[in-house]
Amino acid sequence: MKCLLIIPAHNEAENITSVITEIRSLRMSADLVVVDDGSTDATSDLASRAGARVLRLPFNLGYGAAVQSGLLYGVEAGYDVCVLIDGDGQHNPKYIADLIAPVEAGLADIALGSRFLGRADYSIPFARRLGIRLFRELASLITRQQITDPTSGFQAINNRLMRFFVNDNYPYDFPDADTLIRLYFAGFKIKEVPVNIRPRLRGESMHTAGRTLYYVYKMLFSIFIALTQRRLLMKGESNAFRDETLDGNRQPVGDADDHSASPAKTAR
Amino acid sequence: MLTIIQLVRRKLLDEKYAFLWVLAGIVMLFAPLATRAIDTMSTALGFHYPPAFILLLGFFAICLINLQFSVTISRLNKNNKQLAQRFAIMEQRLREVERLDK
Repeated sequence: MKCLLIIPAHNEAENITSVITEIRSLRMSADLVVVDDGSTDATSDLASRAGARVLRLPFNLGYGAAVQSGLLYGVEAGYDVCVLIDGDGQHNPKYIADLIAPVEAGLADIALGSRFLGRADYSIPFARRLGIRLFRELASLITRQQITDPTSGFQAINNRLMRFFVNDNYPYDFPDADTLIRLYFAGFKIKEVPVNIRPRLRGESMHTAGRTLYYVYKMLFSIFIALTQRRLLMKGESNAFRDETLDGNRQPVGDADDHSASPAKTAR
Repeated sequence: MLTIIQLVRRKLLDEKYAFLWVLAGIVMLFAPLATRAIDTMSTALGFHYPPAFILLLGFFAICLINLQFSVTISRLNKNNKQLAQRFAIMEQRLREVERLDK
């Protein structure tokens, strides 16, 4: 199975080398691509020197768009599965194999690394903890399955879901409970895997207090929109299943290769 | 109206985006010729002061134009994102080809 590790990074010069070195020390049979989201520091050069392929976005597009760039690269290069790992060192790469396993076995289209099933070796700020709790309850209620960590950026995704995401189905900023709800409506299988999330190696987190209010608004509004799109997603009639971004071919995703079943048709 | 026409002539404003402005301009230009009709319409709609009806219409027109801007900005933002993503992937491929050529 052809595997791609995607590391979105914005001004992570302090951490990126150690993150890549740690991953490479595991000697996995996977390629590694760093998506430099318009960094103003030496993130790109350091990642390149550490042996990673680098996609340099010409300006800052936001976390979601950076991840989507990596997914687009993965789809075009024909990877079967990709794993998202943050560039700040919080995600312990020794769990990569645990994340890939259910995806490889066909038990899930997306495997989420959950710090609440596993362990978070740092204190999560109160406001953020409250937000996670609210949206995980909401996501669990709607998807009718236990979601413990919808904010987790440590994920393994199969090719079919990668194709879904690159077709305008990935948010610019925070993929979260809203994205999981969309996936549930579209018939994708979600599975959580216990992982250990560490504190950032160095530097400031992107989750600043000022963003909390916007986060709550965005999530509530986005979940509401997802609920209104429910039938469309279930029928597979949204642009979700149109291949707009790939080489400009406007064909149904399923026509491109043998991952042909419509996501809406898969068993939940 | 003259400003709008001048902006379109100098290609600073697209005809497409001038549409709502032109429409609003024509309404404003010809509204004084139909004061009786406006009076009748505003009284029928329950306005005690007819100019208030005109102001409300103007407010709706500006809201509509602003909404059109927001939709356009969202579309441009999406195009911009896709261009940046394509650019990054192309650049990576080019670097790869150059590296293999050496």
